[in-house]
Amino acid sequence: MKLESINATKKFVGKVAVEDISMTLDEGHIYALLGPNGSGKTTWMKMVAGLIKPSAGEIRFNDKPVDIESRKTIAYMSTEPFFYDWMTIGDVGKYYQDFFADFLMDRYDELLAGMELDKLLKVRTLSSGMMAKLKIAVTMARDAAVYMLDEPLNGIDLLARDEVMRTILTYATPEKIMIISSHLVEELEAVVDSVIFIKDARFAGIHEVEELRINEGISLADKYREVFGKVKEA
Amino acid sequence: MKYETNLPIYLQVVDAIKLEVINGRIKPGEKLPSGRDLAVQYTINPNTSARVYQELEAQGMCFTKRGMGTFVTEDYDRITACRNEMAQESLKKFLTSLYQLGITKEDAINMINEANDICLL
Amino acid sequence: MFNLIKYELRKTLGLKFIILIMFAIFQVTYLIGLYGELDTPLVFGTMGLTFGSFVAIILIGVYSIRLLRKDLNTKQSYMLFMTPNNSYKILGAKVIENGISIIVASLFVILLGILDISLLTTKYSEFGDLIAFINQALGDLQQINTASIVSTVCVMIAEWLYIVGTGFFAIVIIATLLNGRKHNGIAGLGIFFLITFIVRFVINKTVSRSYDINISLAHNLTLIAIYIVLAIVMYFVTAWIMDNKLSV
Repeated sequence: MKLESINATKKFVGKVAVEDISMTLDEGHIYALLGPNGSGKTTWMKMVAGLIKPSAGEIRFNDKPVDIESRKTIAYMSTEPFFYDWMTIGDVGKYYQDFFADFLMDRYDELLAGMELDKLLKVRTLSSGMMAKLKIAVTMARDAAVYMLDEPLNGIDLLARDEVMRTILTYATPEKIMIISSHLVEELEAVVDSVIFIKDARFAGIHEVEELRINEGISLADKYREVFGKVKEA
Repeated sequence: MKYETNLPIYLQVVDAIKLEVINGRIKPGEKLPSGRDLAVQYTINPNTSARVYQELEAQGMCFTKRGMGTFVTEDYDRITACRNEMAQESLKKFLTSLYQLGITKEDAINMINEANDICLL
Repeated sequence: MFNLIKYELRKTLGLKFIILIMFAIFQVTYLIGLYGELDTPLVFGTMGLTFGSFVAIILIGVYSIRLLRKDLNTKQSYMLFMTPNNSYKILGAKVIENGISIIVASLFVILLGILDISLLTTKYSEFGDLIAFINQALGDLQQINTASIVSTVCVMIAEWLYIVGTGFFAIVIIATLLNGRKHNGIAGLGIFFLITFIVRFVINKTVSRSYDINISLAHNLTLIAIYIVLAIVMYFVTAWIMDNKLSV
């Protein structure tokens, strides 16, 4: 199983969001997609999810361009809440069950129980931490091949973060590709094995976290500073 | 667990598990968590936790029974040896930092004798 | 597909509930006026029901266009577009839901109208005589028949379906070109009016467009066919754009 980005480019009116990104991602890895806000991480993920059509280049999953069919196995979780206002947490699960053959209601129930989320709660009344947990629960309850989580740690407290991380690690089995975007480097350092840097809409390197430590004696955060910072820290 | 920024994460987890074995929180022969559970427990990547067990096995601190999981070694000599190795490492670090401060070995011994006992537990 | 339609129905439930409450209020007012023999409630009820019938059907269409706009330009767009359904299905579910709703609503107001008129004629038999007299007089003059009334209503429904389809098209075109930027609502309205104006102009020049009761059945059937074809063309063009060009 592999996910390829081949010269993927997305131009919006007056702005290039993703420029000529080429890389190949393999199963059995958790990738961090790192870069400052607005560097193009979300746009690239949405291209993989088939929500945005590339202006040039393409995204291929198992040697076929991503399309309606690939949505069956590529699960995407956006940063912002996207559920309908009238839904309860239970309705969200039913919705996923109605549309995704890989959705496991038992796993959803289990995840909700672990996160102490009540199925009867209305989604519009949820706090940001609860919403973050719900989004993770419903996304990870899919037995997908690829999971893309866009900023899963944004605006949530420490305990919710722990919960989110635990869930990700529990279901990141060796036959999956997992991609987590963030601008919080330290949070992801121990959890991911590889990191992709995106800088000003362009690909800016891919590294293995442990290799950085073994070969260069630096942490992911150090590397991040090296790539994005203007002055290298002492 | 908080990780040092300049050491490989798998080695830090290896040290943490060895410490648990040495101080008896994990008993010889005891079954260790699965790679996935270890990943969740230490919030580390599953590939890193696989590497942790490879390293522990290479060091003779644990062994794998096919289909049953990973177990702590029952070889008490190995555990004692491991304790000595870790002590040596700490000692080396300690002496290095004292050396950097310009303190001789004799002064250091005096300082140790004068210091209050540290209660860790 | 069934699931998509189910959720489209769920999204429009609120509006339909409001419409039903509106009808219930006017109907009660009408009945109070009728059986309490009070002029004011009777007049208000009648006006409300008549006016409400048109408003309801227009609202259902407009609301559905507004819903599509929301489904394309807000974060909720992911709910539809992350699912493994192509745009023909996504849009198709909206068209079917809306078509069914408009047709059901039309039938509902027609049946309610027939019921209310029969109640009126039973209560005031002289009113029935009046209607019979008018029918006779008009019938002698203009040959009203059920077929022409029904076909005229069908023309109106078909035209409304085509207009809603054009609304869908305008929303999708603008969402594709402007990608959720400011003023997309105004630009969408512009495209919508331009298309409907051109179509109206062409139809007036060719088959002529009229709601006259005495128009020929063949003429009405031609109009129905034209509007249905236009609605179908709009549907396919819009879905194609959504599938191939739209980014949400």
